[in-house]
Amino acid sequence: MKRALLVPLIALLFTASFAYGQAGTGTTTVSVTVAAEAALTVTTGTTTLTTAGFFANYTGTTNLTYYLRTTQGTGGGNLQLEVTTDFPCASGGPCVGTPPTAGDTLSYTCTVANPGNSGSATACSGSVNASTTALSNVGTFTAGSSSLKAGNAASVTWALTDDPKYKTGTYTATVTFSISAT
Amino acid sequence: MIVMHKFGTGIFACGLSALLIAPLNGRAQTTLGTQTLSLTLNAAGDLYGFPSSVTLSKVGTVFTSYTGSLTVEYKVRTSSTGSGSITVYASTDFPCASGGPCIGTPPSAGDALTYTCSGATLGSNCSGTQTVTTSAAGATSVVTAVPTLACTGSGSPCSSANPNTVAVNFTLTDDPKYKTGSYSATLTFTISAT
Repeated sequence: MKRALLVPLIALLFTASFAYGQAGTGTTTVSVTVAAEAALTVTTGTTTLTTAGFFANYTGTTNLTYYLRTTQGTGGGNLQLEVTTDFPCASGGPCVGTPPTAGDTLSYTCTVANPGNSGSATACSGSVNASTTALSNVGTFTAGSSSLKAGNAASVTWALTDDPKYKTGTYTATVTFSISAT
Repeated sequence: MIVMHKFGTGIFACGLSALLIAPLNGRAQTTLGTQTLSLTLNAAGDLYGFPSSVTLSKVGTVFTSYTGSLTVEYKVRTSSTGSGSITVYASTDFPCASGGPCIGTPPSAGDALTYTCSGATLGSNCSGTQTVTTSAAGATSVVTAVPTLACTGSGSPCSSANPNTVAVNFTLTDDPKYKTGSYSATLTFTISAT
């Protein structure tokens, strides 16, 4: 009997699983939550109050730049100030917290430009007396307000009673401005 | 077993063979043929892994930029004449019509989603600060100059890191003009190797 041998022939050939050169891709989601936000800078380093003489009020102006974003529909913003360090009252000069004479005041009027992108601002009304115990209003902002990226301008013009009772000398106080947004 | 049957004038021998396949090494062999094994190994690149999302956040409320980082893991093999790189672009922009950030048409001049790259363990970090674009053709570099005959591995001649990694550090301008809300964009990373 003729024997037939069956020899399996296995052809092994590995081919590369990639084409010539390769590129692969992948994706990721980048997310951000933009919230209401507010900031300001006081552009006047030191505000020097001066008088025209004859016991006219001392006056001067402090300039600000504010940056603001309030929430659409329900948000708002406030720009305020407070005298956080009074004049050295014991020295006999002006004093915000305990005026030497009734009627001596440090007061101010306000100018606040509308936010440059959207919304509106309302400056304080008339003359406002500064306080050492509470924030007082400079301006308010509506919902959906948005300032310019470079900021928008605000200013406070001061008036300090020139009381003859003040002893001569140089006196300084510190005023702190604050801004908030919702 | 061989069974003998007696039929008339003839004797037929039938072989009833139990087929037994003996181990090949149990008997002498004859070479029947040879086979050549052939392997073509081409350049390859793989984005091994990175987070499916990255959140940009900020500290404070003074309109400082939003920031966030992610780490890209990759594997690569380049040929004797090739190179490799990783690029990125925004395949889906933020919803610009919603008034938030927008890569393709920034609300204000200077608004941008930018990034820097650091710590690439094979190839070079992108140079300086890159600005993300929405154009695939204009995709910007994350890793450049993966050299010839480079490979991801555990030691010479391949890189010591496996996989290779690079950190991408994002910065998004905080423009007051952005309306409040949550916004997302999709970034597509592409690795190529030749």
